[in-house]
Order: sequence, then C-alpha cells, then structure tokens
Amino acid sequence: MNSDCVLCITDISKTYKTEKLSVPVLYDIDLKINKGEFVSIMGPSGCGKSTLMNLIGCLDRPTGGSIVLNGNDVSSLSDSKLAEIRNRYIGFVFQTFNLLPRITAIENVEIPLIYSGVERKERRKKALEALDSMGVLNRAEHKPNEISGGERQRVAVARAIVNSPSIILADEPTGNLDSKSGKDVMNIFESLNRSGVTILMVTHDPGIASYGSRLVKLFDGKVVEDSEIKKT
Amino acid sequence: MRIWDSVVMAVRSIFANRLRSALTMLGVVIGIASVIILVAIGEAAKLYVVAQVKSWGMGPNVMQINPGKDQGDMSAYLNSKIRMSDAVAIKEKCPSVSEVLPIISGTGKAKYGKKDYTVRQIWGVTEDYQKIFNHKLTGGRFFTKGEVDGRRKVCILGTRIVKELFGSFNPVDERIKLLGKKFVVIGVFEEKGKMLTFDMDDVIVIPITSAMGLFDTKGVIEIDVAAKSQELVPKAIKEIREVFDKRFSRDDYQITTQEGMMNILNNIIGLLTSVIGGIAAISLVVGSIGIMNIMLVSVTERTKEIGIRKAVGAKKIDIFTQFLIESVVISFFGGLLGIVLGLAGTFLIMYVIKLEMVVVVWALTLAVSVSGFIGVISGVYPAMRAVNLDPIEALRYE
Repeated sequence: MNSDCVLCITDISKTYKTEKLSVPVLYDIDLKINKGEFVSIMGPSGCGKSTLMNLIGCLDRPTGGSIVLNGNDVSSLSDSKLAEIRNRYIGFVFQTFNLLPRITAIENVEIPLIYSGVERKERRKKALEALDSMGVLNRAEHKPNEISGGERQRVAVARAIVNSPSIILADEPTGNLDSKSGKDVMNIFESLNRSGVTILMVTHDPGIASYGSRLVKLFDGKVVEDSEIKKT
Repeated sequence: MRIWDSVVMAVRSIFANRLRSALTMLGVVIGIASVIILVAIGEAAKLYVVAQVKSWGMGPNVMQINPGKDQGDMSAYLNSKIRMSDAVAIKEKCPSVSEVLPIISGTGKAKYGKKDYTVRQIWGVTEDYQKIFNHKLTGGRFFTKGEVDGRRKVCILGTRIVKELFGSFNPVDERIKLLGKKFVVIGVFEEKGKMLTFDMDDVIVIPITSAMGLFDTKGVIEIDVAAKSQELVPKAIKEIREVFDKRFSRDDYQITTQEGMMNILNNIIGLLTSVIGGIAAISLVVGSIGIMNIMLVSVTERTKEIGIRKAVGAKKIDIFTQFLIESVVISFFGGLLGIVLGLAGTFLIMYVIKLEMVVVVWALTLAVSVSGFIGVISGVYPAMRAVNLDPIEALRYE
C-alpha cells in the first residue's frame, strides 16, 4: 500500500437489498487517492456518485471490498468508530450547505470540535481562524439566514476544515450558488488544495470539474474513466 | 463531548422555541405545584390539630379511659360499665397518677326565660376538671368538691350558650333550666373556638353527681387520667390495668394515651394528604406524556439537524444525551417553576385560611427529583428515535 494514499478503495461494491429485491448500485470500484490530490467525480444521475460519496464519507458500509482511509480500514467499523472517523478525517461540504439554522455561523463551525471534545476557548479560537481563512470572519455572529449563499457555503467549508481533516468530500458544492459565488468557492478549494488539502468533489458541471487535477467518471456503478486534468 | 456542552445546547434549543417549551413545561409546573400545595396543607392541618389539642390542655402525660374495646364504639358508651367509684379507685391505688377526672355526658335543652337552646355537650365532671383541661373562666367560679358531693345544681356555661340564652347580659347567678331542672349559673368559660369540627364553646359543665340524676345514668363515658410525668405514662397504664382488670374484662374498657390519639389523628390526616397528593400526581403523568409528545415532534422536526450532526461526527451517545438532556432540562425547570408556584400558592392559601405556612422540605426534594425523573422517562424514547435515524436519510430530509 502506498503511504501517500489517503484513500484506498479496493474492489468495493454496494447492493441495496429489500425483501424481494436486491439493487446493485456500485460494482468493483477501485480508486486510490493520494495526499494533495483534487479529484472531480462526474457522472449522470443514478450512476452511483452519491452512494460512493456516502461510502467514502463513512455514512454507510460497502457490501464488499475495502475502504482504507488514512490507514484505517473503515469497511466494517462500528457506528461509533465511524462517527469518530468522520469527525477526525473527513470534512463534508454539501450542495445545500447544511448549516444549522438556529445557531450562528461560528457556532456551526464549532460543532465538529464539540464532538471531538475540544475545550471551549480553543474551540472559539479554531473556529475564528477557520472563518478568517474563508474570508467570512465578519459573519461569525450571524445566523445562516442572515448571510448570502456564497457566504453560507464558505462557512460550511470553514466547518469542514476546522478539524484539519485528511480529505474534504464536496457534493455539488456550487450547485446552489450563482456563478460568481460558485467561482469564489472553487477558488477557495483551489487554494486549500494548494496548501495540501486533499479534495474529492462530485459535480456534473464540467467547468467546475475542471478545477480539479484528476477526473473520475462513473457510469452505471462503474468507473469508466480516470484521467489527469490538464490545466490550460 | 462534555455534559456541560450538551446542557448549553439543550437550553439554547429550548429558548429557540420559547412558547412551545413553556407550554410543554406547564404540565409539570401544574403537577408539581399542586402536589406541593396539597402536601403543605396536609402538614399544616397536622400542626393545627396538635396545637389545638395542646391548647385544650391535654399534655402528653394525659391518657383517657373509655368504655368498650375500640374508639368510637357507641353502644359501649351508652352501656358503659365504668362507674365513678372506678375513678376514685384509680386515684387511690395508682401512685404514678396525679389527677383523675371522670366524665358523664349528654345533650339536652337549656332554657332561660322564653329562650331555649339545645346544647351539644353537657358534661358532668368533678371539681378537678380544670386540673386536666385548660378551660379557664372569664367570670364567676368553678364548683367545689362540696358542691359535687352535695349534688348541687350549678353549672358553668360555654360562650355559645351565653350568646344564645343571654346575649350580652351577664349570666352569673341567673337560673336556667336544663332538661327541665333548675340550675344556677356560677361561671362562664372563656371562648375556645372550634377543634376540628367540634365547637368547644357549645358546652355546659355541671357536677358529675347532678349529671347522673339528670341523664339517669351511672355510666362514665370517659376518665381522663394525668400521670405525674410523661415518663410515668407507661407505669400509670400498668397500674390502671391492675385496678381495672380486677373489675372488668379487657373488652369493657380501653386506655388511649395522648400520644396514641395524636398518632391516630396524624395518620388520618397523613392518609388524606397522600391520597389527595397522589391524585395531584396524576397530572405529573399527564405532564410527562406532554413532554414526550413534544420531544417526538422535535426529533422529527430536527431530522436534518440530526443528520448534519451525525455527518460531522456526533456519535449515537452524543445525539442521545442531547435529546435526553433537553427533555430533562424542560422537566427540571418545570419542576423548579412548579416549586415556586407551589410555595406561592401555599402561602396564599395559608394566608386566607389563617394557618401557619409550612415548608415541607421532603416534598420539595421529592418534587425536584420526580421532575428530573419524568424528564428522563419522557426523553428516553424520543432520544432513541433520534439515535436510530439513518444519517443518509436524515441528511436528505427536508
């Protein structure tokens, strides 16, 4: 196993089973993502992108194969171990931001730190730093509905990076943003990536995908293309 | 995750939904308040009864002998085998006894001029009456041993009788008719008020010897005996039994100590208090169901929040404690509010019925722990629901 490999997916499959029916969604996926890579995943709806993201995000377990994240085989861990892995190694960025509406931006950013047991003062400090690095420090005490979509997504990215995760999983991060805000967020991803953060992003917008350094295309539950993106 | 963080989180989310949280608390508030008020009233009633009995002068060294096997055996009272000579025997043969007072009682019409009044209690007693009972006179005098021995028809009136027959007129030295027989009023009792439902002023006291003639009976219905001290009460009882067992069977008489009387009274009031308190506690159950209901709604409403929290690393136990603590905090604050309301209510009621305010510490402690317990009970199931939500489904929930 390559020591640079942040995420090693070996031969995983996922089948959803109901009583009468079993629906295979992913087959024989092999994917190795090294530290510092910025991988864009594309594919039409229903191709298994979301399922793959859920598996990588430790929100679900594969039916077969193994997922090794930062040296931890997460394929068959208990729920509470998975929660710990999500907390420490994974930063989620969602299409709909998924900030808690009733609390302020900074409190939203603090949530992952609460669950990793960081002291109150330290929590504040780290959250402020994260907001600052996203350029939304002035929005710290605002609630999500008081700030713009682009700002919300930047707060969400601050939440994703606050615990210094090994990998950021972004699911259509610009899907709910206007093109300018979308561009801003992608610039942030780029600069995060330059500073060494590994990013895995799902999108169906080729323009957005081109921010990445590598493109993985999924079709009908299989990887059909895995290529480097040449920067122009 | 630290407990304190959970508590802060819970309080914040309670405040985010002020009206709903307040309404949810209301059930517990009302339940706890009513339990506290009822228990306090019960305790105050107990103290009141004790104070009343004490003001009547029956100290802890006094015991009471009645005919029959059980208190309230009416036929035994009517056919009492106890005679005045038995009282004399106690006085003579029991060294631990200091005072003995036999009582014969009846009811009947008292007449003065054209006015008449049916007296609830006519007591035939000896000159030692005031040595046992704290029943002072405001005018005139009590009767003497000579008047008892001489079967004189003299009487002392309670204030109620004076009011009914004489109005504001001084009755001393006036003649009244009791059951048709002429009696001279020689004294007037001070006003005593009611003891429980019994009007202590609706009383006429006459020499026991005259009462025997008046009611045509020799049956003594009560002998009040004072031991020389409270410590000597058990010894006095033994001595009395020695005297009485030679004269009667055990079924013909009973001895009740003052302590025993108090215990009986306190037990009755205590039982009433707990029954009423128990009924009030039902509202706590209702309150608890209310909390559970709202917590279930809250879990459904916050499905997305639960999903987000799980995604960023909340473990099952974190989600569980979050919702459980929320429920406990609601219930606990409800309990505290209930206590405040209960104490205020108690104060008001005691002020209106003019009883002394009693703070029943055990009831307060119980209220706090019960409300906490209710919080746990009502929170566990909703919290389990939250814990078992699938994070992927929860994140997709809109």
